[in-house]
Amino acid sequence: MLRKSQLPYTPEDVLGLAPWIPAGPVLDLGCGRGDYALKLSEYGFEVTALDLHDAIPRLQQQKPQVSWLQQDLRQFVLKKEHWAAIVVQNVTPFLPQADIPILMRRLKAALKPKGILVFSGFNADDPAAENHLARTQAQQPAPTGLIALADLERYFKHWQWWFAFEGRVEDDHPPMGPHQHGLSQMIAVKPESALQTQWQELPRLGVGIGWRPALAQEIQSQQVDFLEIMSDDYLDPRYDRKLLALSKHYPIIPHGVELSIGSPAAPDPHYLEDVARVVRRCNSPWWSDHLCYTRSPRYKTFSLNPLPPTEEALEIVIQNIRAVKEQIPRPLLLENVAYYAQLAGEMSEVQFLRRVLEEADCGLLLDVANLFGNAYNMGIEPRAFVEALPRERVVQVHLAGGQLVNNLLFDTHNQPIWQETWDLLKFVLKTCDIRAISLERDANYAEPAEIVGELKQARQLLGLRL
Amino acid sequence: MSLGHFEDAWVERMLAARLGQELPEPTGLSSVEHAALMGVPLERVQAIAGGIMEGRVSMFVSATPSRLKTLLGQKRLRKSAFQFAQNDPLATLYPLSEALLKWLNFLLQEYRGAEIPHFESCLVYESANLALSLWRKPRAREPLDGPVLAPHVGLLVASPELGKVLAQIKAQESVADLPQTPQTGYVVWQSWKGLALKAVHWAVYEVLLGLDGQKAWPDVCRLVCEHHQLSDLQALLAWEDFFKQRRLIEWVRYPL
Repeated sequence: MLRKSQLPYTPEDVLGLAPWIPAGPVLDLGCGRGDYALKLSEYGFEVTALDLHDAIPRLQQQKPQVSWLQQDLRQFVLKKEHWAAIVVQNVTPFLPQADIPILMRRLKAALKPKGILVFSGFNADDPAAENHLARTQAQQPAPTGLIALADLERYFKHWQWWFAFEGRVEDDHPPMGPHQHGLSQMIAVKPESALQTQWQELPRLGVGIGWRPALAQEIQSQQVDFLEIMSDDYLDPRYDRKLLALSKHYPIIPHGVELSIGSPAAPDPHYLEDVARVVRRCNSPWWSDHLCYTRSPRYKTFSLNPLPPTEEALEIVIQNIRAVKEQIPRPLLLENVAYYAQLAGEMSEVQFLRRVLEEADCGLLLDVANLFGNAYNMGIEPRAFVEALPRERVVQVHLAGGQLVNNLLFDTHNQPIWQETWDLLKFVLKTCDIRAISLERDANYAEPAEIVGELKQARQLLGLRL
Repeated sequence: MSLGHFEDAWVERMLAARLGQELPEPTGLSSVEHAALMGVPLERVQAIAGGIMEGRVSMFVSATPSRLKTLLGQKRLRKSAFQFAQNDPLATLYPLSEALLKWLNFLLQEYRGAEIPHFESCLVYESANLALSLWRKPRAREPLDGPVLAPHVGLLVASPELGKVLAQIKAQESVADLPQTPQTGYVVWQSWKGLALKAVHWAVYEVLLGLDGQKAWPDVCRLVCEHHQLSDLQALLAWEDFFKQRRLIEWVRYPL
């Protein structure tokens, strides 16, 4: 026999699942006194809570941070694919049996892909099973509505199940005092299916900047259309609340450095699982990483290392991207990295890039500063490079300032943007239908006016294009 | 399939260039990859390796906890970071987290006895928090037992009291009964981590006793309070009440 506090979803434990709830509103159906609703709201979610309980009018007055509705859930319109999570805690005993399949179908439809359903209901083993706890919509008594775990498994057959329980549980609350319940419980996630990306239908985000806490003041005081976060900094769920708070103010694009798409080893599924959570939290229209490798079989480096433009490398990259897209079915952009040496191979760098984008169905995050740097360091013609790209797949642009070390221009993100990079940006904007421009600055924040000026200049250029 | 050989060879050539050694002869490459690798002249390899090291030096400086930056000063820190990267070229390969612990340890050795007020206590405190922040969360199908506990905790100090606290943590029951998904694992991990925080701070306390004597702990508390702009400084200084105050547990949860 379990005590209720030992079950995995006490309000505190539902909160433990919060980092995995995707972006969007949360619904507590049959909220009672609002324990779950208040905890989830405190975490940062927009919460709607519904019950016929007489505590609702008081909660409406005293806890306005939650949208409280005193209403029969059967009369509540559950919008399709609207809710990021729905908590249904022992509501079904108060519904006639015939209403339960209808509720299940509505719950299935109402959750967003990857939305989480937390459900508890009485089963036939409940001592109250013979009672008439249920009410029809006309408020007439009816036999207690029951649901077995097997029924839940049937209704939510293709969902990803995180928790299932069926058994007796001790409970103790007024007016009944100590008593038992026969419960069927589940926590499950709605599946998400990959769609073919229509690159030209991606939203226009405008001009943004890489989020760095040191730049928070400048970002708040300026018109910044979106933020780019370093996704690798948010893989730990304990940073989820920060991300949730940030995402209330700005559209967010996750940008990573650790994917290592060019490693012969397949991408780490655990890493992808973490990135997928971040992408869902941000509800971003796309996410990005680099066309390079950071891990070789023997070494883990912290440089974005160049791939040789060979058929073998191409095959490995495409295979890896397919694996990534299975786990993260959102459009993936790959960024062209800074090269400091021309690597001879079986095709040119731009041919290699083009084939990756087209054969693996990816978009391009064109780092114009890297392109200028590569032109500076290796004498390639950057405009010809741009013209050879599949233009419909060039979605986003990066801008940054590099530094000369030993006469090589390094992608250091710590200097003002070079004039040549601005000139190249103008050409890119004429050539491709860019949806977003973001600035990257990782150090030397002492002159914020310089960064603010760069944001304005990028906005002006993007506006001129429009 | 030879791409892996190419990638290893690229990294090894960068390392050799950093150390001023002869570039190793690559093996296992296809003729195209061999030509690509050998087509990069030695001077260019050295320049790239130098640029990578420069980047790492900047990163060590910028990732140094702000209290230590203030104590040591930017110029001294940069000089030390350069020395560190030169002495330990593999620092360009370690994960940043590991490299940072090595970097802080390097600083400890470098400036021990340099009579910089609060330096040792501050550094130990920062190292403990960093180590804790590196504690990986449990993964699906990974048993949540003793070995998941941060080995860093044990590395930091050899303390009999710490051993007792860790034993208590390991003795947590019911862990194995929970479903082994990352999500439920995370719930368990959160509660373990709360206990481990106590262990780390116990450990830090003991280290501080050994380093600076009893007065060092209030110094660390003061630094942290200032950082977090907490007003109830006096209350925090009372060691007996330390773990009773939830707020303390909250603010030590995040690295400074």
